[in-house]
Amino acid sequence: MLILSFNELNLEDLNKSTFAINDEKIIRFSIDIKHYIICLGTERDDHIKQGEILLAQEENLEDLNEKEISNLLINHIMGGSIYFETLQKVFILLGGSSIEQALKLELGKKHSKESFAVCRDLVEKLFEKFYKNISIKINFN
Amino acid sequence: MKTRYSSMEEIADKIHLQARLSLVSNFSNKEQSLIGIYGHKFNKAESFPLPENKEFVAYVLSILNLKKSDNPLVIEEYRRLERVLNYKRKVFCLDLEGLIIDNNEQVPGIKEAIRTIRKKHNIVISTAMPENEAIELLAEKDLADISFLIFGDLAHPKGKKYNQIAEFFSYAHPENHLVAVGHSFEDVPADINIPFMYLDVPKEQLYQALIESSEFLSGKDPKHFEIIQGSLDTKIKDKFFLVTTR
Repeated sequence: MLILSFNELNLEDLNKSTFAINDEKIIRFSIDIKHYIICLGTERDDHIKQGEILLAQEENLEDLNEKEISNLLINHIMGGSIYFETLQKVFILLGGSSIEQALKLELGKKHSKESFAVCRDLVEKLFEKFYKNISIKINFN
Repeated sequence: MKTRYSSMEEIADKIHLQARLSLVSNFSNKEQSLIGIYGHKFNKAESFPLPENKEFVAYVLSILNLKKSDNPLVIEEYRRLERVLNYKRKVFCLDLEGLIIDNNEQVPGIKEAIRTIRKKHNIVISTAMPENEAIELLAEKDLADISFLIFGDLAHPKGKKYNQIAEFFSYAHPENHLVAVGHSFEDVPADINIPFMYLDVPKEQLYQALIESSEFLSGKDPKHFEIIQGSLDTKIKDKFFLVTTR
């Protein structure tokens, strides 16, 4: 698993994190839109693990109660997957992060549409250096 | 011949649907089962298991047999089902020789104990034996139908290695999910810090001790055994549980 700031991301890291299901290539990632950090998983690092690792990076979580933690994380860490055959045509699905699933299940909270819009812009800028013809879908649940 | 899909979005939907179909492979009506878990958008990549369907999700997990060959999306879908249940399910890593098979015989009652535990938790086999030998031994002893995930070659000079089980399930905090269970100190977790239930009971009581140990971790007091935490002076001291006869 790789955790990088946005400006550190390079094609080699993306290649290392790519795996195939049948013939289709996939990259699973999570991004922290507050701290401009991306987490790239290997084949064995799913979105849930990525969310847990990013959560563990937050400071002073042990001093917070459940509500305070949820307020800290809401609109903050989001998940995504990149699906592609070649670098020329890429589909990115955003949303549905493990953090959001936990917030929704345990506290009935969800990320806002505005935060997903910010996430979409960041992801588009982040990946346009590497891929052509990116289409992005946001899952608002 | 490979079917072409008009967009990458359709391909994403297709591969997630395939992963979800693996979860309900034991059901005759797979579509209805998937609706029961994900709702009517079960065929869209972005769909999540519905939190309101906890009971059905628990049932699906109780009869699901993951395979080593399952792709990463199947494991992720499995994990999302676990999350719906608030991670109350554990994965019990059972020793093979001594706990399930002893002196070349099935330990009395062990098959029923495993079936009982599987209603609420997952079970895998963790053995020092090579995996293929373990598969043969289980088949020979009429235990193949329990359909375990088997992790072999786990011997370690200080006990047993469990990290590859944590990696298979993609657990960031394996101590919250995995529980090692054994009848010998050779089963003590040596590479990761996970709970260890040491069943220090006679062979004929092993099955009952196993059931009560699993219930103990869910908050139920044991009836026939005493379970003492922290009685082993090792790095896993706080996660060591000694199970003895009262």
